[in-house]
Amino acid sequence: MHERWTGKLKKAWGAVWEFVWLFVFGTFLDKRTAAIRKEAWDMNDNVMLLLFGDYLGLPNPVSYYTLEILPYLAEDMLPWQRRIMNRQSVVAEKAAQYDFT
Amino acid sequence: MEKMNRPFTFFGGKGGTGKTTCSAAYAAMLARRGCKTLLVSTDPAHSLSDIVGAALDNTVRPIRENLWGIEIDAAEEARRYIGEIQDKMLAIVSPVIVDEIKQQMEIAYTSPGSEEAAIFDKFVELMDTLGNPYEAVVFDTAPTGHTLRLLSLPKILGAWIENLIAKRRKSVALFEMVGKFDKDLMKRAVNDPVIESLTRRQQRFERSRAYLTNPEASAFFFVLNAERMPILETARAVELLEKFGISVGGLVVNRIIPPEAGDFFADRLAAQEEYLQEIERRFGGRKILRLPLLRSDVRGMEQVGAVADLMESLSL
Repeated sequence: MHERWTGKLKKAWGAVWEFVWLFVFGTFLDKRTAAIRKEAWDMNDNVMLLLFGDYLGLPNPVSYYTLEILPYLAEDMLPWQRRIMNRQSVVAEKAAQYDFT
Repeated sequence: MEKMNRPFTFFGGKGGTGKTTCSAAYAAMLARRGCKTLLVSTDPAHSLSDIVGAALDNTVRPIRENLWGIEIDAAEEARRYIGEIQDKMLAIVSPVIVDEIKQQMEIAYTSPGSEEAAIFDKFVELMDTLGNPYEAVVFDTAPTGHTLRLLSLPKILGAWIENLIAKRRKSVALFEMVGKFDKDLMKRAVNDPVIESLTRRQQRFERSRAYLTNPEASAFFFVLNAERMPILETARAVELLEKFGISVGGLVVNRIIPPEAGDFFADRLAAQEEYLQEIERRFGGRKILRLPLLRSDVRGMEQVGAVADLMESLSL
């Protein structure tokens, strides 16, 4: 009986803690880190472009050697291709990073 | 006399000038002196088997005492390399993704330069085995343009990879910053296998550059005939190699028509004399070895030995 109650209490405490954390994260942290996160992904996309540009039709003199990196980035490959092919305006993309409010 | 002047010797030049014969003769000469020598052919149209009179293929085979030979099969090397990557990929990501990006792998496999890259990889691999048991490696390289591209790879790629590593580092650092609040992103930042893999590749280029640009470790010899086009092409090639810091050891002027050839060659002899002078003028100061035109094609180790005797006269 006693154990069941502590279990429930723990669960409830976990839910409260998660709520508080998400609130703090969403209110104070997320927006602040969004710019960095965006920058990180952009940089990552650039690295992908340097490594695997030949899949988009940009000749890469060393596609043979970059192939050995493919296993580590295989998961990123298709989303990256979709992203890079669907880019509309670089200006708008950059502007979206800034918080004008 | 010393057994050898340097561990790595390259023979290059226009197609049909007798590169393979010269490299075989040079290797035979080293082997005769008791130096354990490996003879490597990188020419896609292999003729080494024919000349040494032994069946050679993509693995190192003995030819005679102190002499081994290999004909690099670029296509097979590339196949093996891609196979290894596919195995690695299956271990890391799900088969669905592997299936989806199979097409990309095909592109890389058939892209121009992949054969050169495969040959270059094998080059470095063979150079790394120096000392067990080979004391010298003689490379019979493919016709000029191809070879130059091959040898210029380390310098160009070294800079490129450096840049790539720097970019990846930056992106990983950024992931680390935001990763404090996001476990998924943090996973990308720790022990990045991409940087590791790129660094390994960079070290490999560095090593091959160190081999190729050290005149005590390697030298490049051009084989040419006393004719106009080969002279021009050799001049260009020498210039390019020196630009990349690869030491050019000297020239082998092959198939010189001997004066006793008879009336039929009288005009050619006169022209040849002019070209020989031009070679002397253009490439003066380098070792120049003159080999006469022989009565027949060089076939089998006996005849290669005869050419080796001629080479002995000038210590290349």
